[in-house]
Amino acid sequence: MASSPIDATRIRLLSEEIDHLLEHYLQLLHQYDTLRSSLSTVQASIQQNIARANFDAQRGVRYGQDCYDQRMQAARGCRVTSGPEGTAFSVVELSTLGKDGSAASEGTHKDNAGPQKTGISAADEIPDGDTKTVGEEDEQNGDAEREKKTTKSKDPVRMFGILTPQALRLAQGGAIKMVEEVIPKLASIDAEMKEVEIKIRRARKQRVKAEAAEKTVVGERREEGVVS
Amino acid sequence: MAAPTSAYKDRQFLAVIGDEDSVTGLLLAGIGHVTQPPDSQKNFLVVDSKTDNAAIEEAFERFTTERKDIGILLINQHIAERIRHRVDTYTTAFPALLEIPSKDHPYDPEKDSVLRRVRRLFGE
Repeated sequence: MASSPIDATRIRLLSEEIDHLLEHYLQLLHQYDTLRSSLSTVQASIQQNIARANFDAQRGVRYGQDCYDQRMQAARGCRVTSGPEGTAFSVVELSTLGKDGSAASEGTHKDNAGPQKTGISAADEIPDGDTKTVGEEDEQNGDAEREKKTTKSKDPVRMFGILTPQALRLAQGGAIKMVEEVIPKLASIDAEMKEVEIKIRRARKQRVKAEAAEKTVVGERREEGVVS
Repeated sequence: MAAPTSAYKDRQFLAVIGDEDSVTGLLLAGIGHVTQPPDSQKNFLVVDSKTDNAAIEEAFERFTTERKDIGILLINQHIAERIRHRVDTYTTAFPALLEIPSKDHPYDPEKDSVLRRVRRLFGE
């Protein structure tokens, strides 16, 4: 006996939707796997360079927690955006930080083109149409210089001394690459995978319900056929 | 579904629970942050053989629940293994939790919480 055409169509559509979601999920899994490999590679290179720096260091010196600056301020932070298309993480440079430890400024991303916008510059921003006087320009130049100096002294490698070995600088380069490129992508893909998992589970439940409803309709029709 | 802005807008730091070399590497990248005194809260925890699991759990709790300024929490996979029950039951979207390899413990896909989720989805 033929089942309800509406239920059959709905089940077919749900199955197609699940297939599409699974296909997308597997693509994300592939990306996750690739990023995991690059994370392992970069992490191994960082560890190797730190080990080399420790090996070459003067006797008794170890580039570890004894050298950490107890008042360090983050030079890089993360930015989270969430919209209908999903959650995305990115790691940005924090230009200035507020006294309470909160970033008072917009971060600047490597990919961002155009002039850097900082908390100081945001406060000093001149509305369109205003003309700058010479004094204001000097003040701004002074701010920029001060900012430049702050950025220089903020270099995290400085907490390990002024003359740091080349290996430690290489480790820093690798760590920056890992933090700016690999980690935010991994976090974003993980978040997207979680969302797709929820959609797949939801679609599967709906399909099970539709199949159950179809079976009930078929059963009822059979009973009606027996009675008549 | 998009999360409410209040859930993530102040989450601007990365936190790390790891061995000394992993933490050093990440601090070199400039993610380390100590809040102003008297709190002086660090966003990292160096774990060695003497660190007990309670201290790791406490740091995990602090970074995931108490502090609202952490966007991504990085934890060495072998340390995550020590508090696996907490890591596997952590389902909150923010902060994002990532397990990273370390010098003595390379990445093991069998222990990865994301791949465990994948296996569960495919009914294994």
